[in-house]
Amino acid sequence: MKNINKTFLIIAMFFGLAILLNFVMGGFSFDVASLFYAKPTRWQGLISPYYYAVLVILCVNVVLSVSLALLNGFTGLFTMGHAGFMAIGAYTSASIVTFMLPTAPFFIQMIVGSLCAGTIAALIGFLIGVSSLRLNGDYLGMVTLGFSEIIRIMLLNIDAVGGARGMTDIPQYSNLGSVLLLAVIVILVIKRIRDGRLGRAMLAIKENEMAANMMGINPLAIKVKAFVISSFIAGVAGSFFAHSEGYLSTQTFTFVKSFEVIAMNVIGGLGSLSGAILGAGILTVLPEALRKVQDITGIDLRMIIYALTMILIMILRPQGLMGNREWKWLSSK
Amino acid sequence: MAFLEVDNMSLEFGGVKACQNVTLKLEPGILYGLIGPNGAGKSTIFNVLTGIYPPTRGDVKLGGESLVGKKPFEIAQKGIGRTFQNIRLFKELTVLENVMSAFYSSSHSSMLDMVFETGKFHTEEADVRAKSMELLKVMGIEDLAEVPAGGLPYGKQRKLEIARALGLNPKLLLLDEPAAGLNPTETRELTDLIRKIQKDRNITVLLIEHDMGLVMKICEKIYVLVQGQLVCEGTADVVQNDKRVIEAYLGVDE
Repeated sequence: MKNINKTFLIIAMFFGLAILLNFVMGGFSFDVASLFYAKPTRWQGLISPYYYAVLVILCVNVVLSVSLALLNGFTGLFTMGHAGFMAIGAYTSASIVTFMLPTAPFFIQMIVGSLCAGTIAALIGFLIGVSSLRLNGDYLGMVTLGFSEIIRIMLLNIDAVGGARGMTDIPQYSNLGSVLLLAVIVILVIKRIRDGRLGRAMLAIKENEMAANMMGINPLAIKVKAFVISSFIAGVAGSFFAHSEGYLSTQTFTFVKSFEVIAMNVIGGLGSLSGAILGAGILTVLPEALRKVQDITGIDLRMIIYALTMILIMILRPQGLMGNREWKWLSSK
Repeated sequence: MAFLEVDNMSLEFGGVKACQNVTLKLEPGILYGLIGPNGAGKSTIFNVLTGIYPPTRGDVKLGGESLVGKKPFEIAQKGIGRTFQNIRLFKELTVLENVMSAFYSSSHSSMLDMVFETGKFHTEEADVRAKSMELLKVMGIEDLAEVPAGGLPYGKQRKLEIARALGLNPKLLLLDEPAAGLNPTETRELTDLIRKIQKDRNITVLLIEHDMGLVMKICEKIYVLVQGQLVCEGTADVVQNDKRVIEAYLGVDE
């Protein structure tokens, strides 16, 4: 029972911090809720819209990267279709909220929208998983890449969600507070899955599928589970992304996005949860931080420095920045 | 009736007859040996028993129930644990986690239990941890519990594999060359250990081994396999004096 309290403690701490922040930011306003859902005006009192936007994307990327770590890093399934699941979540949530719940309170919209997004993404993840998880290695990567492109092209051709014009006027209820909360929850959930019996089974399958089989572990069932959990989280991330941007275009969800998430995992260190977070941080912040360099040098060295950094990391630390170590608060001990 | 029955089992890969009409009858609580020259099909029999290869003909029964067509993990859950000739540990996991992974199918905490770290999760986790530590103690490697399994010396890896297989709480333990690559001291130590585990837990052990000293010392009954066929079965004395066995190992006296 001691550790239920720990869970509550973490959540309580988070809300405590939120309340504190609320006072700092809003000058003794009791409207704590507006930190988590509503237009970002309150946050933008504290930071500029530019930093605000970067931080939102950072949180969404952390969620995506960590959910991919469950597949790629822990279960050893190389998938290249994460953007597809994110797209499903984003469009599902945006459609449900825009067409069915346009006048509902923000709170209801957020709960219903993100849960539906996660569920539909998980359902499709399940179908794709069951049909393709008999494949191994690069073949699975190719199939998932194909599926994610199929999803994107399908969305591109549905007029109700804007087609090639993109979907506009999506209610913007989620803000930095809610994506931050989502990121914290997702990190904790994935950490705990990793440390439980399911996580051990996943790692066992990654290490040696035959031996895992001989230990009474059903590899296909575990892989499908990992797939479903991961696509659920990617779907939820998509939902929050849609409702903080307010605009969706299928161009966001090309395979380039999938590769970006894989790159976050690889640069941070495959198999390390901390690495997935660190990788997301670097790949989100670095391109933005390099804009400053451009201000100084006058010419656009951004892409050159970015590419060089990637290459240097690959040469100097092929196992990723964290290797398979973890930060203390995320380690299993 | 025997506890594990291999009934007239044949396995063919195209034209290659890996096993031909093999019949084994294992009684509970006895230590069996399976010997034969390289390529005789000993490991193949293990692979059939654990469901990796379905037999071409014949049947494999555990406690009267046919195992043919069952998936490897289902057979493992029914109580057949094994080790591998070429060690297959979960190298990045710690020694303790390796053993704990064998408790997967016998533990029940759900995803929600894990995510909320409920009381059930903690009780079960502590229980599995304690049981795993106990198995490590039996094998004498408990002081290495937190070391990644890949970093263990070879002999200890062999021991860990046995500990992990015991985590399944098997009724039948299949050991594939447990002493391969061990020095004489380690072999002697392992021999005693296998004997002790088999007696203490009263499980059936089927052991493939090339170290004849080990086999003759501890196996109560020995099967000899030559080119996919059983040529002899019996106690150490019977096997050592069997003409066909001597021929298979030493050649024909001309």
